[in-house]
Amino acid sequence: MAAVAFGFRSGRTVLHALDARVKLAALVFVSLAGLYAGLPALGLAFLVAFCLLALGRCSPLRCILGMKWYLVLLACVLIARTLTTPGDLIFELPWLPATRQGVHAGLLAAGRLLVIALLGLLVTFTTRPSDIRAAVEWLLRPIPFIPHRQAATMIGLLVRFIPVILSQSAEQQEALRARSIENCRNPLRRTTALAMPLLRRTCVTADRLASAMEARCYGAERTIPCRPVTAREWSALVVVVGFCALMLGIS
Amino acid sequence: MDIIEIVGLKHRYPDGRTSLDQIDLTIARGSFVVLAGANGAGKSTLLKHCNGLLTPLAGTVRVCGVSVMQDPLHARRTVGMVFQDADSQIVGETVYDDAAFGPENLNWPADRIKESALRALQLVGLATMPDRSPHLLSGGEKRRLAIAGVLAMEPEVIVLDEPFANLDYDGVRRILAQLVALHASGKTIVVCVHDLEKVLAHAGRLIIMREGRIVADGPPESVVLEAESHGVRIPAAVRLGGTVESWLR
Amino acid sequence: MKNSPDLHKLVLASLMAALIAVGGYLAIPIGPVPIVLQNLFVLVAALLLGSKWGSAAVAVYLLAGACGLPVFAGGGGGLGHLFGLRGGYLFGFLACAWMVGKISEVSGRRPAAEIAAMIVGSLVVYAIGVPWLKMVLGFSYGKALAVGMYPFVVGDFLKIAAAYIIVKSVRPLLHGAHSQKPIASLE
Repeated sequence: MAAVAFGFRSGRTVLHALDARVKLAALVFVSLAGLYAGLPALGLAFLVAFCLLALGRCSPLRCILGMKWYLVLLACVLIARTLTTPGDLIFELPWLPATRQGVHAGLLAAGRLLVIALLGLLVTFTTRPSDIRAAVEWLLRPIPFIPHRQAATMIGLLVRFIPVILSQSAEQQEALRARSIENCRNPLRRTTALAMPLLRRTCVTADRLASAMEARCYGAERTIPCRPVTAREWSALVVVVGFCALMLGIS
Repeated sequence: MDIIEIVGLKHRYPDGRTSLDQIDLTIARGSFVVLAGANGAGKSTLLKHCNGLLTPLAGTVRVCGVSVMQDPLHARRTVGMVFQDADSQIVGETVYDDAAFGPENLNWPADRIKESALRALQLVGLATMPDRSPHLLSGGEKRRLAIAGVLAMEPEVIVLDEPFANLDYDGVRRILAQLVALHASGKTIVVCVHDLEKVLAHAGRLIIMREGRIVADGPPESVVLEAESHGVRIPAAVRLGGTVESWLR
Repeated sequence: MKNSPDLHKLVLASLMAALIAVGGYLAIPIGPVPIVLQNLFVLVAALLLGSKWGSAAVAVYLLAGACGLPVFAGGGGGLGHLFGLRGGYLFGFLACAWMVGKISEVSGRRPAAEIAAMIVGSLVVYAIGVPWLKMVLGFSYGKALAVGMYPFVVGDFLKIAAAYIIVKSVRPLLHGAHSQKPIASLE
């Protein structure tokens, strides 16, 4: 379970070296293009995403494991669309109202989500969380009314404390099982018995963390490590924009 | 010269209980002080005043002659504080990020941040794993990372709250060796413990607190004999008439 | 010094966001539909932190997920989750946190108002989540409700009760945090 929180694996590929800002921008562009794309463009994007995953040295097994529940949801989308969209029946069976239009609509809906998810997975696997945080901070800077520094600090703490809270909750569940929580039929008691200690601990941790941060001079003004944008980043961005245009062009 | 001067310090918990009562204390630059006392004696509360984390009800705290109330930032840069629970003071997502957190807050230029963070990691022996997630470190490594996070800010005084709690023998020895080395390099060290055994051999001064007051203060050899009457266990060697031997030997 | 309460809220909101993320994995296996603790934590965050920081906690969770940090239950996928089946519920959490926090603030944190706030908040989640589900699956409203709302209603009442109990017991801990400063009026 805790493995989920460590999606990133270090590597030396081009994708690992690319600036996180470019990767995030690419993710957004291609996702938006994917929402308007037709089946041929989606097929192409799927192929490209697959090649990129191979380029980033992400093993197919890890990808499938990483998104197995998501794949189940996609299957639901495909089946639901196939069965509920009116049109020409494929099979002459009264209990299987699958239609040609339904299959098309289902493939389109599931394919779009699959492409977006694969690209997201790619970013997750090849980008250090702290780089993502820095990139978010940089990208949020021009947007008014959003305190980008605070947002970046919060994302950093979120990433830092997910594994901590995960292991605390596992500990908590074991402690409850050691005292035979399974025998308790009252769902309300079971819910509070698990959630209450977690929340209490979280509140205490928040107190301590706040004073520790204060002791280390946390304030609004901080130096933000930022890499300069190089020619590689610009050319990658141009390729991405070109690809989006191609996707929209062939739909 | 005294680096920390506390005069007439009083503090109360929010529920009205007195936590510190009329504390007068000076700590000399370059000394190694052990602050002992039972749980709830007010050790941590006292230390937090040196850093501006708590506001006194009465009295003043000065660091390098500057009032902590007037310039808490100065106090925080001079007095680095390592808290007891390492897990809830590690802020960064990776070991390096955490070491760099303090210097980033101080708005240093980027290359100085990198240099001081890496040097701090080097000092505590974590330089080989800058990209590790802090969650995957052992208890001793987490404690050392917490120390590195403070060292990176280059403070003159390092205050540690129960640095040996929950550590195995090897972990205790490594932290202790680091403290001794830091002291040798000229830093002022204040260690707060409830068990004297591990650290007393290296201390130059022992202060015992009880119920918010300082009840004994002086050279360890003489003060340690009073410890038991204030709820702090006397090290076994002292009880048997000897002196405390260093854990580093 | 003066931004210290704000820092405390910021830290607590970040940790609540982490708790919301972990909540996606915590399920209590009772009855046909397991009780997932995620929306319980959303409700608790909103009541403990108020509308501004409560919704900030959810927003940070969504932002981190959208940028590809693996915070969504069901593994990686980033934006795919936000656009996918559960997307409506995820955005619903944001509206829910703001709404619950706002109602509880306006009502002066009276128990009845807080429970009402949580009921309204839970309805808001479905008000956004179910039409979204209908759109993605291409279902009729009846079917979308049957799949995306009715199975969870009992669990939701349970979570509202649990959230109320938890918030009542955890709130005093929070006041301990602000009161690190001594109270001069005690003199």
